[in-house]
Amino acid sequence: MDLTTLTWLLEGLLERTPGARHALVLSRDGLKLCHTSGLGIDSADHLAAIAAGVQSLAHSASMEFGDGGGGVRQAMAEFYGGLLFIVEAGQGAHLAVITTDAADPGLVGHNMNELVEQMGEHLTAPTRAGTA
Amino acid sequence: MHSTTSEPPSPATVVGTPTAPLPDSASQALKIAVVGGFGVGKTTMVRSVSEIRPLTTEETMTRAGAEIDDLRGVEGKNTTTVAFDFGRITLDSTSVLYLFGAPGQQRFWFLWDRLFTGALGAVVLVDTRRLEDCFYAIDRLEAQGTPFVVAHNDFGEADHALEDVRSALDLDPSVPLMRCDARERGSAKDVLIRLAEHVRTLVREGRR
Repeated sequence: MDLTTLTWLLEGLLERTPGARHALVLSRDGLKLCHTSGLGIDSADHLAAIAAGVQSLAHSASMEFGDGGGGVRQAMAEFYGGLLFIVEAGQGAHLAVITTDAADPGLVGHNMNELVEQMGEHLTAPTRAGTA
Repeated sequence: MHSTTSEPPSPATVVGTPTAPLPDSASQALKIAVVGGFGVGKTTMVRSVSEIRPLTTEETMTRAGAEIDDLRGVEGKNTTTVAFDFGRITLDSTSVLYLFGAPGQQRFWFLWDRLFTGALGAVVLVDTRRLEDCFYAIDRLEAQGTPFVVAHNDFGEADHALEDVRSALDLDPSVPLMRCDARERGSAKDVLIRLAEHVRTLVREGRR
């Protein structure tokens, strides 16, 4: 799956999710892979770093207080003026979505997981092992 | 290290049971930031010295970073910190250090503000193969007036005279500079003790 298709899928997610403003796919080490057009380059870079940090801390919370497997279904932050949702999206990648504070969290989460299934195994951020 | 301060031990620093948030005026409980460039050994230091299971936020590096995260000199590195490391070490019956290791890359620098909040001091780790990577950390600590020591992480191989490192960094003579091996608990602990002494000296001299 190429980046154009991926971006098109992200735009589709915004269209069918009321309140969704931006969507971005990032690598687990905090770099943007692709994002919707309303998100500027600088904001995209920033969101990628934030989302990687949040996911990593959520993983630590899961290790400490969850079933010990470290799995994270979803990380979410509710701040004044909006919400941030992050889910795992394929190997080594995460999907982050920013919405207005009027969005329905249940619907956002549902649509994000649906999209991840759609993208499926095509979406990967391969490790650098063997390429350095 | 000997406790030479006149205050009685604070109840918030009972060894092994940290419960209260750290007052930033406490002389026994110190929040310490470990900073420095990408791949210099910050996570390694927190991990080797912590007496509790450290919180680490290391993620596998992906090919997305191939053009961005420069691995020259640290080719064996395959993970990187994306939020922060956290560890704790008790120096003596009254001194507990809480360690916060910062992420090294520029894209995570926005996290440093929060990590520095309430910190009484910082360790700057340097690697002489990539000396310029620590300039940002030193500039920032100097600008905000946070006491710090500089530790040359040489992984057990002394390759440069410390005075050469000092002049290359244009480091103020009052800033302690030492060698360390971040993998060695004793060596990393020595750096922290040196920092605690440095902070105490500054406090005693009324410069903090």
